[in-house]
Amino acid sequence: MARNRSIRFRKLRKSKEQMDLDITSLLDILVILLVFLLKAYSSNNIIISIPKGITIPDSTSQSFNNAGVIIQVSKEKIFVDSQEVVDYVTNPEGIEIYGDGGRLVTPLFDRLVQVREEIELVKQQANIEKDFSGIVNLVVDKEIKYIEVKRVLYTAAQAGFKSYKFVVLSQEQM
Amino acid sequence: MYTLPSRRQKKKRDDKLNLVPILDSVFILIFFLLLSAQFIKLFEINSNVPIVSSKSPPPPKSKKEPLSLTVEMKKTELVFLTGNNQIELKKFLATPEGDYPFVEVHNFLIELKKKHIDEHTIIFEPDEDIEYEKIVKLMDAVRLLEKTDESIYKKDEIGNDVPLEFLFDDIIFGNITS
Repeated sequence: MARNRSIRFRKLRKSKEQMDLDITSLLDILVILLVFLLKAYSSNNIIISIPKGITIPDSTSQSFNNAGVIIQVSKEKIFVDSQEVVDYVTNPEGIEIYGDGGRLVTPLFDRLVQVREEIELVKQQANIEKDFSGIVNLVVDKEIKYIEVKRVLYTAAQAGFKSYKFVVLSQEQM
Repeated sequence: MYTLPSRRQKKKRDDKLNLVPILDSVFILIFFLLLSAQFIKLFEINSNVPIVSSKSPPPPKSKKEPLSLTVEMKKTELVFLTGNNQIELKKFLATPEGDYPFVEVHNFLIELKKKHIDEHTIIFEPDEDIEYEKIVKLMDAVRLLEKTDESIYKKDEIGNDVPLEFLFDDIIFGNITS
């Protein structure tokens, strides 16, 4: 007890006091960060992945994306919901890619029909009365020639997808 | 001389707000926002599948011939056609670099929209060697009315003037079956 009161141990007593950290500047930073993040926050729940090798074009469009099957088209490959269906360069299975007089991409058609059947089966099992939307989101590389786009559009139409949504990049970036 | 600390001194001390729980919640909020943040803003341009039918088309509701606006995209030019006989309406030459005069095209379509206010459809027929980026740029030029553009008004059901937001927003690719 005497030790606690003594002048000799005054310095020691002071150092035991709780140290206050000034966090005002940290809070300022956090608030600014929060504002930027809230600005960038999109309430749209649709996740569209852009595979390597695809640069999507800029657009002034402000229409939000709709849920649907995603077809990603790069110069070398075609994906359906990020699953590779066509590889023009290696063509590992040596399959014939084009059909119907060169208008149809056969592996893509097969996959789209399969996806459509899966969607309809799920709807039947879940007793969903809503009709099949037939929406296909197209993530296409900006340098691709129209002939490739045309084949994809034709294939999607043949597989029963009636509405094309071309995914574009907003020109108003953060 | 050593004196006991007075009670008055203790009272003068500032009561500091405990910011630790607030900071905790802010950090958690930032973590969730970072997880869900989409730094690339993606949008879409809508287009529908052209309907191919062997049946004859239904009789028109009015005597006025439909606009049937079609644009042929060629490497060197853009050709706008109209009517059932696809008569050439206007031609825009591309620059030597291969770019189309999108501003002029947009202004031409504004004038056309004023004359055909109820028309929404435009048929795209690009050549096979046209780049997708150029098609998207042309889609932008034909679809939207910019804020800086002259306003076009349409009468609604009650008779009020309503400003239009779009020019020809129903884009159809007419040559996908060819």
